[in-house]
Amino acid sequence: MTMDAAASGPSSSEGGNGSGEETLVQAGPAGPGREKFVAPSLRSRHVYLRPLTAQDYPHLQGAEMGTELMFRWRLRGATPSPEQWVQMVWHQVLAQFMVVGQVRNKPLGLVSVYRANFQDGYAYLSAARLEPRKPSPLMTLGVSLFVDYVFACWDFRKLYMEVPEFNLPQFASGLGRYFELEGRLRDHFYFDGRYWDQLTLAIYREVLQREGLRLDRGRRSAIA
Amino acid sequence: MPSGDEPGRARAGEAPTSSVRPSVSWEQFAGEVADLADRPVEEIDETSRLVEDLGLDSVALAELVVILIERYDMYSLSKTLEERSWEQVTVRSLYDEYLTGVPPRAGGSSTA
Repeated sequence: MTMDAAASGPSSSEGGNGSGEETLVQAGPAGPGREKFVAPSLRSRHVYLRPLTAQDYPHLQGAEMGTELMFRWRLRGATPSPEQWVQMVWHQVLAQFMVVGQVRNKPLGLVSVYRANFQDGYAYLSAARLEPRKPSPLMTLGVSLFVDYVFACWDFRKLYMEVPEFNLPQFASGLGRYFELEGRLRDHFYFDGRYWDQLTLAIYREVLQREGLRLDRGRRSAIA
Repeated sequence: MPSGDEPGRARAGEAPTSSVRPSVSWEQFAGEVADLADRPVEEIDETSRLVEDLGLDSVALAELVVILIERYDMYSLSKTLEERSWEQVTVRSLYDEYLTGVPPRAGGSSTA
């Protein structure tokens, strides 16, 4: 896959919002009362976000069909055709980025916001780590960055995540702090001889503004 | 987090291996990890593994990384995050890295 060849630091303007402007001020947490234009940042100290391109497809498809992601994520064991897979990748997507490490430009995962409901002020968030077996703090930082970006660009009240219950242990410590459990479909998924619940988690804008600070102090200078 | 102490202001604990790095005691360091793991600090010992024994998940590890880099100036961590494995990493090996600035060998076994 094609990746940015040059290592870049948090101060780089490359890959921001694509404008190439070097004078843009990076945004803090989205919130009311701003008096100046502040562009949402696609970079934090350790990771950055870049839009998904066709050059990412082989790597992404390989991870999705060659790792535990095949069962933990949307395919759930199925093998769609290459054409169907591409359609699925972009189905109902509002914004989608690869999460990439700052030091080695290593793709870490994919984050998406999809099925947006502008009338009622919510959308759905998806996040998939390309190496799902290994616990990774970097992907979490990438998700935090992306959620900030989404709340800066659209006036959503909250973002839902639909999570099979077998995936929750990977990030359960955020429950009740960064996200809330708002729904449960009992015995919704079949996998490996049993049925599993589907959980609907919600990330609230105001909670992110309050608690998200803990996850990204390097990016927000207001933090003591 | 429990203390909020800056490394330079922390009281000296066990003797650090570096004479220039401001030190945070083992007890304070373990307290940070215990807070993230939501466990009593008494349950943290040098052989405790972050993931396998204390149950730190991706969110807790992210919080830990931010604390260690921003508050403890663990720049060795910052440089190696992408290739670093968190499996089998003990609290002690992480504390040793804080003291020495040298990342643990693959597998994260304790040097204590």
